[in-house]
Amino acid sequence: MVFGVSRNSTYRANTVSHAALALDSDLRNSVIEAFSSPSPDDIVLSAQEQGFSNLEKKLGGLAMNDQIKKPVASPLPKSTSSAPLKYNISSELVQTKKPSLSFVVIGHVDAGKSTLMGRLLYDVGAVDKHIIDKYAKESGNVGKGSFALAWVMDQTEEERNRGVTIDIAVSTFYSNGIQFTIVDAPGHRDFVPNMIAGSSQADVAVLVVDSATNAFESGFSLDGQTKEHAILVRSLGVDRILVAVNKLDTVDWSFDRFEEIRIQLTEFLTKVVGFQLSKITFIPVSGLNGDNVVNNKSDVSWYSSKKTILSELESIAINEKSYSLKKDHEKDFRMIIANFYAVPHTSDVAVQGKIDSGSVQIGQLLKVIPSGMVTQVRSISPIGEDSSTNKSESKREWAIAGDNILLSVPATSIDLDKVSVGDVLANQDSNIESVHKFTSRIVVFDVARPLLPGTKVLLHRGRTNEPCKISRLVSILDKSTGTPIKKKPRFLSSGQTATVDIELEGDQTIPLDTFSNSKELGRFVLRKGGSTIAAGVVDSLISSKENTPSTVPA
Amino acid sequence: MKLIRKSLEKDQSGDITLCPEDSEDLWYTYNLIQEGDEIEAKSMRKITKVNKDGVAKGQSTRKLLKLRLRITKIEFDPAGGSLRINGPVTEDTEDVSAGTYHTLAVELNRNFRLFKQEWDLISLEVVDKAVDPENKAEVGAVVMQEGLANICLLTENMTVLRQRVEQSLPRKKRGDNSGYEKALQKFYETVYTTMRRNLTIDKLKAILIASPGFTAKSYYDYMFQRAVTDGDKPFIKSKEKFLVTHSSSGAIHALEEILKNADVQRQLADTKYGRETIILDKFFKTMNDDEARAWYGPRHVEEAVNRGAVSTLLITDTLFRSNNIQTRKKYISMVETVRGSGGESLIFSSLHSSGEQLDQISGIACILSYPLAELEDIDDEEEEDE
Repeated sequence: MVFGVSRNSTYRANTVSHAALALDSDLRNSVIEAFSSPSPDDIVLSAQEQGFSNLEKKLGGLAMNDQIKKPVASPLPKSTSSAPLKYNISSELVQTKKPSLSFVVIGHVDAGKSTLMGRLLYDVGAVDKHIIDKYAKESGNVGKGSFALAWVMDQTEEERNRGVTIDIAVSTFYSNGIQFTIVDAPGHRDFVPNMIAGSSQADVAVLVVDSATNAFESGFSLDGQTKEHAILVRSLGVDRILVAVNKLDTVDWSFDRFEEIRIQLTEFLTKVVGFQLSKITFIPVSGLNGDNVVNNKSDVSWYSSKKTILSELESIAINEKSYSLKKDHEKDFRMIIANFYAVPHTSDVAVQGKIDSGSVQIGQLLKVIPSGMVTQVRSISPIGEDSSTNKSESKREWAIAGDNILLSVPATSIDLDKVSVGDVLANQDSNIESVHKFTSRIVVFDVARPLLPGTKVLLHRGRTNEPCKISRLVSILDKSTGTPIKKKPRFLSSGQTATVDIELEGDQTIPLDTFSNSKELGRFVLRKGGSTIAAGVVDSLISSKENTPSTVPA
Repeated sequence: MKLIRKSLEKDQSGDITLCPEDSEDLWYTYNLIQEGDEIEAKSMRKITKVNKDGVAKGQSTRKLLKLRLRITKIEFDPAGGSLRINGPVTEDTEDVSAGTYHTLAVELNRNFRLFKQEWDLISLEVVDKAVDPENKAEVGAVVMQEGLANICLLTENMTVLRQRVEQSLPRKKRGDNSGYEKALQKFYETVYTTMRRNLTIDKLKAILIASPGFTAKSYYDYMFQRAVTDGDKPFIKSKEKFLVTHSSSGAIHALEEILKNADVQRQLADTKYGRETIILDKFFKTMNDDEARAWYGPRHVEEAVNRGAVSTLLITDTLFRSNNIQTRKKYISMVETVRGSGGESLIFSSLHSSGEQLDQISGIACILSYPLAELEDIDDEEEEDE
């Protein structure tokens, strides 16, 4: 019941809100008409409902459904942690849960990322044809007819006027019961921080390259974003990549062109970036026409594997990223806040993010770090649409590591001014620290200026970035063994691996953990002057308590 | 700064009377005075009459007195624009006896007289610069990104953060985006009113608006649209003072790259900080291209100076503020040696981002005219005591 219904109303909510925006009565009528008859979704849905009855039985068998009282709304109960949690997220339960997969779409500006994703959402049925028709009309009116599909992802006025994605767009769709979360990242170099934010929420990257003459080359050049993005996603822990060789229709589906790009990129991705060969898949596509996105283009004789973007993502979700393989859900609950906002016309605050580890369920008490505010989960829903328009039955009861979700919490328990994107939600008893200074191991990328003590950089961790400085160069490390080869170096230059201390500017702190404890909280990227200069992992935290003189009266 | 009177002896001792006129002059004064110098100025002090037994009699009164003190403590707050000097009074007056400690605030438009045992090269240079009316170009800067704006004032010697505006914007999402658009408008409005409150537009030579992406341009459009609605004619007239430029982030240290930008350089070509930024970048570039030609740390640089290899010496004013006369003399002689041999010595202001960065690498660095790889062997333990 949980999945089936949520799936349906996800689409419905979406469509209605779009239609409402249009204020076009014809359109509205046609939408209503479309929903009065069973849609293709509904047909799939009913099939799925049957599939899920198994899970329901299991839940029933565990006898957890009815005798537990509903979670109390705000104000929060005073005796907090004692309330037993409704679900024991046993591995058994997890096994039966259909996988979910988050993927980030990356690549050079104008490679067609947003269009490709718009196409994917359209073909999979997550966006109604009427919406696309409306976008086609509107974009045609302003002379940007080819942008209609991209407008599914590019929602702000600025993005549409300029035809450039600025911020990441997160969207959810379902296929064969798998919940997919798309993170569409901007390609323009100024918005790489947003792209980093997107990548930190993803399991898999879809690298889109433009196969048109010279376009691939310009994206692949030193200044192009193809290279930087690929290095970044790998640095941020994404180890599986799908390369969509896009716009093949502009070169008549030339096999030579596809091979040329495949060979160059394979070389780069394996040797420079460090992807394993078996973790790279190349797919020839045309986002604009929808070839090999969801539907296979059958008349390309040289493309025998017949993989499409969707089929490959499904296979990854089932074979490589399933919960039973990852075990992350058995750890403590942690989620980096990627976005939050007060839900209009309700007393709820919605918090969005990808669960890094552990599990969460309705009624659970959570702590916001660093502010320490304690709050309680009211509802859980998949992201990509406004939670206020969701019907209550579409909510999920629980979610586990890897799920990209939207949590609703009572607004009374959270002071929005004290929360910022990049804060961490964790169990109430969590001891994650927010630190000012830490020791880390970094790999220096190609830099035009060496890194000296005091070099000011931007530290990117997940959705946030903080100005900081490299306060001390401890030692240069041997790349293969990791042993120090030179202590107190004067400077670091391209390609070196080193241990350094990093200190945030002013008295800022950021919640971090060592890499050995948490992959998400212990990994970061350093940028300066608009380019990525290093990637690193946190070795140890230098407690902020030691640095600040204690002012506690005796 | 106005030079009121200057009387120096042959042995370089003597006194100079100056009148600070703006907060920039306080910075010059801060770099001029040193512990051990004596200063004479008018200052308020609370006076309580005492009888023979030391018991207070009658009410205490506040009096404006002319006091002369030997400086033992200096406090400078660039953002608040205050300079306070503490030390024992050296000359008896009717109300205050010698030896009593007093704290004196250096105030604008009030003369002070500074006595030094030795007016060395650097201090005389500071006086010359301070009284030069040419050195007054001030530039405003709004460094921003969505949800963050740093409003700064760049003077010849200081980068002062006037106000930081931070506002969390909801991220875009599929469907209804009005929350985002509304919040963005509100953010622009806050930045605009804060900027108007913190920067005096007609006094500034230029105002830089910088951001990644389109934020700066959108904000620029917002400002003038707003000015038109408000009928703010003087502001509209100042339009050509605004320069929209690119930065990779809204963090304040992005100013460094903004100042390197060619368009901005053209506008600010002859300013001190423009020059500092270029030279520091040249140092980094040299280090990257040929590491044996770029060195930092007092020992390495001293050795390079002694060998006559230095073409450019980079040094921050922090080092001249040293209380140890020996150390100060050492640095002054380095500056003189380099200048004497046809090299360039540039004194960085530690309140600009380039000087701040130079301070991080011990405050002194040099670019050599030929490589000296053997400097690598010098041990610089001394400076690394943490």
